[in-house]
This record gives sequence, C-alpha cells and structure tokens, in this order.
Amino acid sequence: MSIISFTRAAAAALAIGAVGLAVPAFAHHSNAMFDYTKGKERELKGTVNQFLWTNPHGYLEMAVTTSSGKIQKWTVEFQGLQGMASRGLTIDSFKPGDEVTVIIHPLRNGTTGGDFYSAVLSDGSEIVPPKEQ
Amino acid sequence: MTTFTGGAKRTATGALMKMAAGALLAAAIAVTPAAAAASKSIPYIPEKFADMVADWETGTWQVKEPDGCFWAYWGCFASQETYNAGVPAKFPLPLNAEAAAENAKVVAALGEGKSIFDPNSQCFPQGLPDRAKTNFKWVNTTDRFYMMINGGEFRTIYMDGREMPERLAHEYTYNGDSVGHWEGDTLVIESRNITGPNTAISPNVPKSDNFWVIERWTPVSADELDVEVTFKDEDRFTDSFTYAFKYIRNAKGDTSPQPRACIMGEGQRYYADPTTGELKLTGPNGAPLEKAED
Repeated sequence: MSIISFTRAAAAALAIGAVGLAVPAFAHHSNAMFDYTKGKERELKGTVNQFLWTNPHGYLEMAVTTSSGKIQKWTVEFQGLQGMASRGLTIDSFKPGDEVTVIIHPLRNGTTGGDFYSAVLSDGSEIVPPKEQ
Repeated sequence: MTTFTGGAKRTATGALMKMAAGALLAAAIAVTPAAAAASKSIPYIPEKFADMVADWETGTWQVKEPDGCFWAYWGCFASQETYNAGVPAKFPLPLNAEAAAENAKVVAALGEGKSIFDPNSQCFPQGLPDRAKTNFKWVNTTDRFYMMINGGEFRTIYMDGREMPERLAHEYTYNGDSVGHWEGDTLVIESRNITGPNTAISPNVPKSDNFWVIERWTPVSADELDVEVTFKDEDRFTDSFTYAFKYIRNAKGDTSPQPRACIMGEGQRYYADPTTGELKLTGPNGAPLEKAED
C-alpha cells in the first residue's frame, strides 16, 4: 500500500472515532482516603437511590437507616466502566428502590462514603470481592 | 541523564542536549521535513518505516513495560502496596530540593489518609508525559501524525519542519506542542509548552510548565517499537530522566465508540478543600458527606 492510500485509510479510521484500548480509560486518583485495613470493612444495608454508570468512577447512592432510626445518605465509589464490567456489574445491577447489601472500604475521615468491595443485589446474586473471583 | 530499562540503570551525560540539537538541526536543514513543507507533499518517511506504516492501517499499539516491577506512572515499584504507601520508586525521579520537599509533603499526607495533590481526581486531561506511554492508534496524514488516544484525546506530531511555537503559560495545552523529525529509522518527537494542572509525572510530583519531553521511536518490526522517553524539567529536576519500554501492535485492535467522558460532579466527586487542598469525596451535586453513624 502506498503512503497516499494509507493516508486515505487513516483518514477513514479517524472518522470512525476513538480507539478501543486495554489500559484503564482514565487515570485514577489516590485511594489514601479509604481505609483498606482488613477487618475494617463496613456493611451497608439500605435502599438504592441512584447508580451512576460513569467514567472514571461509578457511584452508588443509597439510603441507610442507622441504629437510632436516622436515615443517612451514603456514596459508594466504584471503578470505571471497564472495571465495573470486569466485576460482573451492569448498569442494571442497582436500580432505584432496590434493597441491597453492600460491603465497603470506609472513608478514613468517618463520613458517609466508601470504596466498593462486594455486594448482595436485590435478586440475591452476589458481586464477590475481587480476590475471590 | 538517568536512564533505566527493565531495571537496568545507565548514565549518558549530555545525550538530551545532543538530541535537542539534533531536533533543531533536522528541523532547520534536514531534507525531509523542510522539503515536505516546501512542496506541500507528504512528509518523508524512511523506507523501512514507511513499509511498516502501511501495515499499521489496522490495529492499535499497546504498551509493554519491562518485567520485574509494578509500574505506576513512570516509576518502578516493588508492589501495588508499596506504591499506594508512597514508598519511593526504585529509580526515582531526579527531583531538586524544592520538588523533593513538595513530594515529601504529599506523601506524608497520604500516610495520614489525605490526598492533597491529585489533579486526576478533577477530570483534567492527562496530557504529556502520561500520554507518551498510552495505547493508541496511529494515523498518518500529509504533514503530521496523529496518535488517537482513549477518551477522545489525540496528539498531533507535526512533521512539516515547523519550529516549536511559543505559547503563554495560561494557554493550557496538556499535550503541548509536538514536532517530529527522523534520525535514520528513528522518529524523534520533541514536545514543549506542556501546560495545565495535570499530574503528569506521578501522583505525588507536580511538574512545572518548563517541562520538556523527547521521544525516540525505533521500529523493530511491523509489530514492535522500541521507545525511549526523556523528561527534562529545569524547575523540578536536577538532571534529565529517561524511561524505556516497548509498543506492541495488536493487529486486531480496532476503533470503538468513544467512552463516556470524565465529568466533574458525575463520574468524579472529589472536592479540593481551598484551605488544606485535601480532596474530599462528596455526594450528589457536590454535597458534603455527613458523619457516619452506626
């Protein structure tokens, strides 16, 4: 193939769109704010408000009732689309109103957020921890 | 100049300056780009390389880093855990005193569970030099190469003999300006004007706006490139720093729909405290999280 014909083909490729890649789509941030100490995972039982299927992170918003009866809103961070899919998650895994159990690595500052570890979905299926897959 | 390849370290004083001089000389007098610019025809490509470029119509190029390390950004670490813990890389960047102090401050904060410097958490484009080590698709046009990168980003490498443009510091380019020329069968790409608040060198080491990247791409076969990337930062480094790796072509790699972009408040929820710089996870629409109860 000549350079000129390559150029035309390349222009066509350019028109198709961006490149499919094996590396993470976006660089991630530091995870220093989460506590990954074994045994310090926290279990959240609650109701799904929203599940964001987004890059560079997905987010689950859920309402959790505390022991005193107060309802707190929690934010659970996930990996990006590729990472979530590799864990067996889909955009329909968490739907508003679902009753779910989610295990997180909690924020070190003690606020209502954490990094996703595992879950039992509303249909009883499990998203197992990464090392157990 | 510090260089490492798969853990082996060597020194080559002055090599960067020679490369830079070569780049300028080639841009000014070399037959190839100058002739291409004058004739408005396709740029010169060494015959060996041109034959391979024809095969690159399909497929994508993927990074293959040397064995023996957990690689993160431009550092070789013993493991993911040591990287997370802020343990220095085996071949650390040649930081000057000021940059080293800033790095130490960021790492100390990480040890306390606080992230005080991490532009990646705020959806800024990664830019160079991160993007000098990323999977891409090669696109060749009449006077430039494009590196199509994920997330809808692309780099432009001008091969028409133009001089490096001058830019104002506030013109955020992220990938900078890249001008290329050939030295034998090696494509040499010089990139400057790399500005913007992206992390660049490592999560813990902010670069300056006076950051310079030289890439040397040498084809080994139609499916393999040897790559050396050299950084120079007169405001941050005491010396230049070179990193070597390979690109392996995946002939079946193909284009795909553009992934969803990083959008602050949606896919990224971190808020930098204006006083401390500490990044804090937020709820929907940036709402602060409350203290967790049992």
